[in-house]
Amino acid sequence: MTLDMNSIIPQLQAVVGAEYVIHKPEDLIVFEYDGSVDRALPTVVALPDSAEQVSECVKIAERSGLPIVARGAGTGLSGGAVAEHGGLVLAMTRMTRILEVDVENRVAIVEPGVVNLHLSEQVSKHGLYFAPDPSSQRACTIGGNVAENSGGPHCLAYGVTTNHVLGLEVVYADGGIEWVGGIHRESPGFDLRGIIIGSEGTLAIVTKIAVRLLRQPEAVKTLLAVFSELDDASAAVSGIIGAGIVPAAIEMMDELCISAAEAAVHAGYPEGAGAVLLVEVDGLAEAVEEEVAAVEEVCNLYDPLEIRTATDPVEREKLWSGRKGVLGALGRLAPNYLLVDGTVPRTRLVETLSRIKGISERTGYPIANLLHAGDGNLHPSVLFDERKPGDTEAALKIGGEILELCVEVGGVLSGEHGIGLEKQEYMPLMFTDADMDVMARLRPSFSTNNIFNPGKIFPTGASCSDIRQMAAAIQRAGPGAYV
Amino acid sequence: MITRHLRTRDDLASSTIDGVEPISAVAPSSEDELREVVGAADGERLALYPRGGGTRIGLGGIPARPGIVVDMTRLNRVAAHNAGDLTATFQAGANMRMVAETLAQQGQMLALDSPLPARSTIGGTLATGLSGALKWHMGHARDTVIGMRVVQPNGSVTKSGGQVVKNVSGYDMSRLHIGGLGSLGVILEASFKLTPIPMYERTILASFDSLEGAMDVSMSVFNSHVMPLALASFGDSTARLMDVDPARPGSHVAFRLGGRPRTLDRQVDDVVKACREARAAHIGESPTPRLWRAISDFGWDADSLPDLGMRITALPSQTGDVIAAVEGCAAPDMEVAWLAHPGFGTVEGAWLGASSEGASAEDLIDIISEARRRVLTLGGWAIVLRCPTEVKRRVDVWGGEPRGSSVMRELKAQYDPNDTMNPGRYVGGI
Ligand SMILES: Cc1cc2nc3c(=O)[nH]c(=O)nc-3n(C[C@H](O)[C@H](O)[C@H](O)COP(=O)(O)OP(=O)(O)OC[C@H]3O[C@@H](n4cnc5c(N)ncnc54)[C@H](O)[C@@H]3O)c2cc1C
Repeated sequence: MTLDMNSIIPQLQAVVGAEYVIHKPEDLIVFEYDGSVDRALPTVVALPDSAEQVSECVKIAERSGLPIVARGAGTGLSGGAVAEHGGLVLAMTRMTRILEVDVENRVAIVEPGVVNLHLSEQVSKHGLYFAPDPSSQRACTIGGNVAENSGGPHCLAYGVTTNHVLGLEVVYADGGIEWVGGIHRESPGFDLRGIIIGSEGTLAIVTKIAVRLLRQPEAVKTLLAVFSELDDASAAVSGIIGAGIVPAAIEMMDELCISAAEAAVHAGYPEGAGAVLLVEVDGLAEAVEEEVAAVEEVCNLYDPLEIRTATDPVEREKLWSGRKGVLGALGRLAPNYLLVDGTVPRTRLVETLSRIKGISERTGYPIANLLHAGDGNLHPSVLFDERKPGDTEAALKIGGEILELCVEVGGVLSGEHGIGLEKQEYMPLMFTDADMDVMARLRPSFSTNNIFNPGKIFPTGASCSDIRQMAAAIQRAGPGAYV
Repeated sequence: MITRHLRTRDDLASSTIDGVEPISAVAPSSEDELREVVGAADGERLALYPRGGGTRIGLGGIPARPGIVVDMTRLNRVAAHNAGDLTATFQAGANMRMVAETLAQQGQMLALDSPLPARSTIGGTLATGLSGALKWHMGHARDTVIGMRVVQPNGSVTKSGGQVVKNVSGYDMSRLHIGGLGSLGVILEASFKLTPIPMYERTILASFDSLEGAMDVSMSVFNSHVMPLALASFGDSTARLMDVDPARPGSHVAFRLGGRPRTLDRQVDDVVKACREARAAHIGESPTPRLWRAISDFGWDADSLPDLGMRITALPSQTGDVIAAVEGCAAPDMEVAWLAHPGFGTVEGAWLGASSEGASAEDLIDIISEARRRVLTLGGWAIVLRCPTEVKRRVDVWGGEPRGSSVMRELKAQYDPNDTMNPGRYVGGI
């Protein structure tokens, strides 16, 4: 492809303003990566300020056959925002307005660059919040959440992004601007909204989002249960779900995580702790009391070393501190870690974790497990040292083995981080060629001309890219970020 | 191969949609038979009309051409119920009552309350995508689905999603089929996330002299900490058609509440207090299953089958305006009944002719356009759920081209290039 950048850059400058077009190689470096291990330098970056500007930029790129990659905060963990084939990165950094808050109907309309947590902070004065709470919520954008259909610790009870988005204003590859869905709870025709959510920026660029807001719960209670055995903690998780209790969140960490967290944040876990379960229940004060009692009853069936509960925000935060600090703390155990994301049926947690342990023992690489356990969403982290020859390849291979294991026990390749570049080669583990062909035909249906985020999601036959540590993304996610 | 052709005149007559009699009707008994039927029909350029229990087969436009009706009710297996995971997978022909009974054995339920569960099926419920009263709390029909297998028009079976509750692996293709009215393929099997059945349930039924009172209390509960499992409002005509007898005439609001003992007491207290504040003329309790069954069946069962049924959606706070618009659109000799889900902003209007011949097509067309005109000024939209074929010839039941219709047409061209699936019945003539 021969591109006349000398003509494209001025055209983009005319649309968004000269200061909002970035094209010098040294300035482009910050747009080279996201939270994943993948890197690629975009050809040019533009920072549009409105849907109309996005539309004009898309038209310019489309005319030149330049790939277009939308970018939120760059905290994605599967390479979604990496311009693998170069091209135009549309960064949403200027589109950060909360356009409308309809308190009575609990609907807000926001621009895609709005940081997830800012929305909840802005509407908290009305007693409302935006439920999806990815651990990166201090940094990640709602546009990114939509593209990845992100979840968070509290999506166990409240659902993931798609359950909270009513409508989207999008820009198609021909520059056309259109709303799909809207501010209403239902609309006629195919659910284009639902198809675009989770499509990782490959079908359209999102320029406005109508979200549903929830009422802040009246009461919140956190319960921390410490077990000596990982199996007991996993069994307690299935026990809670099986007993018909759906708490707001059930999080879990294993022994390695515990020792790292203990060293880093001094969470005060007892000697011999093999697993920590963190359960949060929210809602009516009475419901919280009754459900926490029921959760405690289940936990007591599995020989806990200790159970602590807290309702006071400061005390609750203390219970969460170990869980939230664990990612940063893993650095104490090894120079690098490969964070894997997969989901298994909750009843297969015990088996899956013990087989992961088997993999670790067989290969000699320590694996630290942190989990959104209530959903069966695991984040095993393979610890390694990239300076040792062969270590990186070994870690990647183990990551692949874990994904195979997840699929084998009835689970899936990604619970919340998406496929992007990281996992495209694993798609055949879950899907047949016919399945993927049907999926791939969404692109021509949206007439994308394959310019939106090309080369993502589906296998290309290319080998997985080189791995590096995720420190940069964790930094961008800000203090207090955890996975 | 196709083991059962239902060829008798009676069978075909009962499979007639809007006066279009099918060429034949088949009831495949296995996945392979279904694939064969679908692939063969597509190869022969024959239209296919999938059919579940037939309870809402009338939804949509007039079939573009006669074709083969595919009766799905023999594909009715519970493919899996993983109680410990709170997930289950059903074949599309599984009957909703059977589904509910199966899940209830383990204290679980599927938060999809479709009308006439003794006949309606999983596939039909998803394809129509019209969620019932439980949506207030649980969200849409679409929010319960975690995976799906579909027979594509060429006869291949493809899947998306999985059997776990949190999953972002690949595009979520089920979104196209939920509410897609079988226009892109045949839903073969769907996996769901389930909900534990609350330990206890109670239903409060309050009556108000004015519609404002009923709407005020609905919004105040919608915006309170109480989260009813369902909340519905209806008028006197509806009550009579549902054979429900509120103690006082007026506008009624039903709250379905559930939970553990103290939680339930607290919710009842809060709701009763909110009703008093909105000056309810009467506050009582109603037997839970019967009232909610009646609410769910309203407009679809034989007793309340209207000449014209519409579903209107606006914002929750506009529910009262929509109800007023519905009530304002009546012809002489017609009864109007409404059922609203204020937390969702949807209102179902039912118009019944007083005479045995029913209402005239002219009157019904006038009502539809008047209702649409009024709803349009509110920014909402209205579809026709049910009307005589004569009316369908002259009005678009979907209310014209929706936003996104050019992409929708492309989707149809991509996935059903021969226009095999339910031709002519979906939005924009798809
Ligand atoms: C420390 C840490 C913790 C995390 N915890 C979680 C978690 O708990 N749950 C979870 O689900 N994820 C988590 N993530 C992953 C990540 O934060 C989410 O995927 C997030 O939604 C990405 O948002 P972003 O703004 O950073 O998007 P980016 O990384 O910038 O982009 C992600 C994808 O979205 C596309 N995109 C962005 N904006 C638009 C737009 N306007 N229109 C179309 N496409 C667009 C991009 O092209 C790309 O494909 C975590 C990441 C980190 C680093």
